Amino acid sequence: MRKKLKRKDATDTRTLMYTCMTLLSRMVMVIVFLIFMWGTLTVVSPETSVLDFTPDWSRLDHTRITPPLQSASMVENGIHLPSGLKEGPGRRQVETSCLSCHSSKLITQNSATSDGWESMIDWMQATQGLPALGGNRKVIVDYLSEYYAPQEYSRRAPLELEETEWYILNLE
Amino acid sequence: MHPFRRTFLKSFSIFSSSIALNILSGKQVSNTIQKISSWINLPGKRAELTVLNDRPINAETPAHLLDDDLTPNDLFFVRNNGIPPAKVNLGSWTLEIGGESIIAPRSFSLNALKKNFEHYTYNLVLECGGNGRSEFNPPAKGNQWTTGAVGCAAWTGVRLKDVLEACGIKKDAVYIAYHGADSHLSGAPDKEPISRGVPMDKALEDESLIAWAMNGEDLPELNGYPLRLVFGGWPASCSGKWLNRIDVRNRVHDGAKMGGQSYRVPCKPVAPGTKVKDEDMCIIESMPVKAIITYPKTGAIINLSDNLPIRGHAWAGDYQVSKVEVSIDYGQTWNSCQLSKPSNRLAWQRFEATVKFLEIGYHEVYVRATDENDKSQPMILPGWNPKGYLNNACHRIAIRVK
Repeated sequence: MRKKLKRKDATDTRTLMYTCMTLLSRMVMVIVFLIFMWGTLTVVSPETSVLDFTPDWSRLDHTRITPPLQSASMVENGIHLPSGLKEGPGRRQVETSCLSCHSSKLITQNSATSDGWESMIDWMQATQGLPALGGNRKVIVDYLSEYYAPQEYSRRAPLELEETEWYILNLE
Repeated sequence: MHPFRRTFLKSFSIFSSSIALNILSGKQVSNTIQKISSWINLPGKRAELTVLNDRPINAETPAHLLDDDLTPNDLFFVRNNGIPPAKVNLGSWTLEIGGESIIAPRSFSLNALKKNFEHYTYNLVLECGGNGRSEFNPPAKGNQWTTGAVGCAAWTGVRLKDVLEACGIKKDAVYIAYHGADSHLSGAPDKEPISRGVPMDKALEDESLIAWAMNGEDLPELNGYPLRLVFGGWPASCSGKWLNRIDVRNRVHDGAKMGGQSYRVPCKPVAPGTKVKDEDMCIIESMPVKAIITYPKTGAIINLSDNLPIRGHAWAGDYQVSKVEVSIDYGQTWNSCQLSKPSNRLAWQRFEATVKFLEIGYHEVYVRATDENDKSQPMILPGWNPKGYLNNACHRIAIRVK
């Protein structure tokens, strides 16, 4: 997988086209988003003019706007409030690389092993325009697999197939 | 192979095996411990029993070894709370009958008991209240029984009611309490490992026995030799072993493991993981409806053309089982099994069916019993409780069709 990434970095023209397209689509997305936010705010609090709008990150519910860097006081019960992500090493890299495209909710509602997060990143790079992450990739995967790991809790666990001694049952 | 494909396959296999490891590592460790500890020989028991604990001895029967109509003595599960008496002298063994609500306390030698009262034999199910505990999550402390803390044997003895009535039961009688000759793990002579019992209604049923024989032989030493109580359909902890005293109480018995959290569940349902106060816990009485697949053993590999016979036993505490169904599609469709009548009240019932798979691959067979009150088994776990009792989730086995 790492070889594949290097190959991608090396193909300059493709990367350039890729980056242009990514930037373009991101600009379109930001514009659409701003229009959507304006509409929402008008509906939620019609008395508030857009002109005297000041960011209230808690009300915005951790949307895709990357908030300005905040001090540690923005962490409550282990959650970094502006981003909605669990506070920990790698949180900032996740904000930078992931939340520029999608909401943190796409992360916080999911859980996976490091292989699982790796394959999601692969998919985003292959189909969604996520650029190569370089050295941040490991930091991000480590963060995600640590803080958004699969829950071992289960209402009923699968049968213990690793323990099952399979045998040929001859009928007749 | 194409390099990408190889990488993909590799990462896929790492991915899937790491999932399996995540789920199974804890269990695998405990299973290895169980395998090691099962080399310990239990007196009167076969080595195939899964030993969960060796002090006190606790061992369960793998599902496929419960296939007999009556569970053989050397396969019957063991749930000991203390240390069984080292030496039993039959000549001097006595059973004392006393308590606040007995009119004339008496003492019986084994011979007197056998001579003075009529003998009865009933096939009765004994199941530990904690059978199935291992599936609860958050986990409950205690022996991590899977499915094998149950058995049905032919018990021979005298009716408890005949013996109690011979001594006279006062009108204020509420509960019977047993005492046994087993000793506390700590070795403290004044401490009983367990002393439980049942309300008078259950005590005076025809099938409630003071038994000395199991399947026509002496009781196994780990199952109460030479004398025990048997109350079919109730938590097996009610059926005191190495029995040497029965008290008729004028209140709910307050012996060891009657109060606190032992053999009790929240009186009102609670969310998983809730801490429940002792006073909000209620004593378990009749056990819930349940079925176990005893043939085939899980893990069978069969051919697509095969008809697979399925059989096992079903039981329902104080009640009769009215229906057993089998599903090979995770409960989307159910088919009725053939179900036999119990040989007597409180005996388990044989069910049989034949299933045919339409596709090759991995399959699971589920069975679900329904009792005469129309209560059936859940496919997921029933209500969580702090000590992990009463798990009657459907039993299931794994089958591969090739």
